[in-house]
Amino acid sequence: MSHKDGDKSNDITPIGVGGSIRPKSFIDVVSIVQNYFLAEKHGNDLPENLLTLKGKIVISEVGFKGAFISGLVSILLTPFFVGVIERCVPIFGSYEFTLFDQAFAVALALSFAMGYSLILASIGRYYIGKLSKRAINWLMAGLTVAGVLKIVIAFVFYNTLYASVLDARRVAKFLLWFYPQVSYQALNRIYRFLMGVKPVLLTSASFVVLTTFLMITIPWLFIFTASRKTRRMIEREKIWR
Amino acid sequence: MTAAHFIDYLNPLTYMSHAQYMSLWRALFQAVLQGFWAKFFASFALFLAFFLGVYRQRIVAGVLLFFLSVAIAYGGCMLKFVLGL
Repeated sequence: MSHKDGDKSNDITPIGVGGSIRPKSFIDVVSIVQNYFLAEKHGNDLPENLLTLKGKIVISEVGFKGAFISGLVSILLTPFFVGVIERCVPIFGSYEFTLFDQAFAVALALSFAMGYSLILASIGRYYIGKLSKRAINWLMAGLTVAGVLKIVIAFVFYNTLYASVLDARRVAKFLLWFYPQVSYQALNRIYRFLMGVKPVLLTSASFVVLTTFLMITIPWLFIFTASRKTRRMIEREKIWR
Repeated sequence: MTAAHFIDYLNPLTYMSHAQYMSLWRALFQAVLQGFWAKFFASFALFLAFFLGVYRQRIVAGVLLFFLSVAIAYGGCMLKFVLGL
């Protein structure tokens, strides 16, 4: 079948964001960016206003939401991992910490944030055209804002726990509520554990800053590397054609 | 075999003592949540979490395997505390 106005086999109709198709997950954003990328790769000059303000906000929302949830999980779990590194919290049922145990705790502490940022980084191969670049930038903006918010929440949460909630008197008073249903020995063990773990919270606050820094910088490194690779591939394709 | 016999058969306390039954579970938990096997299973779950979650982009599976890895790593301590193992 031939077209009167030329060959349209390379034409791709890009989808606008924010209208009928509202991206809810990262996969939706990937498919939108893929669409822009394919259209721009074949030389179609897409109008800049195809990505509307609403579209930009919706894309950054996806980046923000995922990073914020992963940030909250990291905030809750980090003291347990840092506790192993500081030899206060047992791991694998033992207080005898081997090098493997501590390395594993570091891996666990970093893996949630790293995992999420590596998933985001996989979009880097489409960081080529004007519009796809803009969409990825907005996705990363959402991630960055969530990262900064995570640092603020972590500092407030850990310091409140350290200075107020885990106050020795308050903890003792709270634990005594469970006496005599729970034995005094068990309550004493919990009290000693909590008091021993308390300083870990301050280290955790600094650790969260480090993990957030990695969570923001790693995707950018991957995006730039992957986009250079894709550009080289496109140039090679042009030479062979 | 009647239904009552079948139900009796399902109850492990008909063919082993309470102490034996408890020690069986203790041995199982100690084997899976402490020592070499705990480290092996936790590391494998974390590796699978990255492989499925990041490489294959099956995010839900990745998150679940991450939590499984955390549960294996810290489950031994929790059980030790709760059950006094």
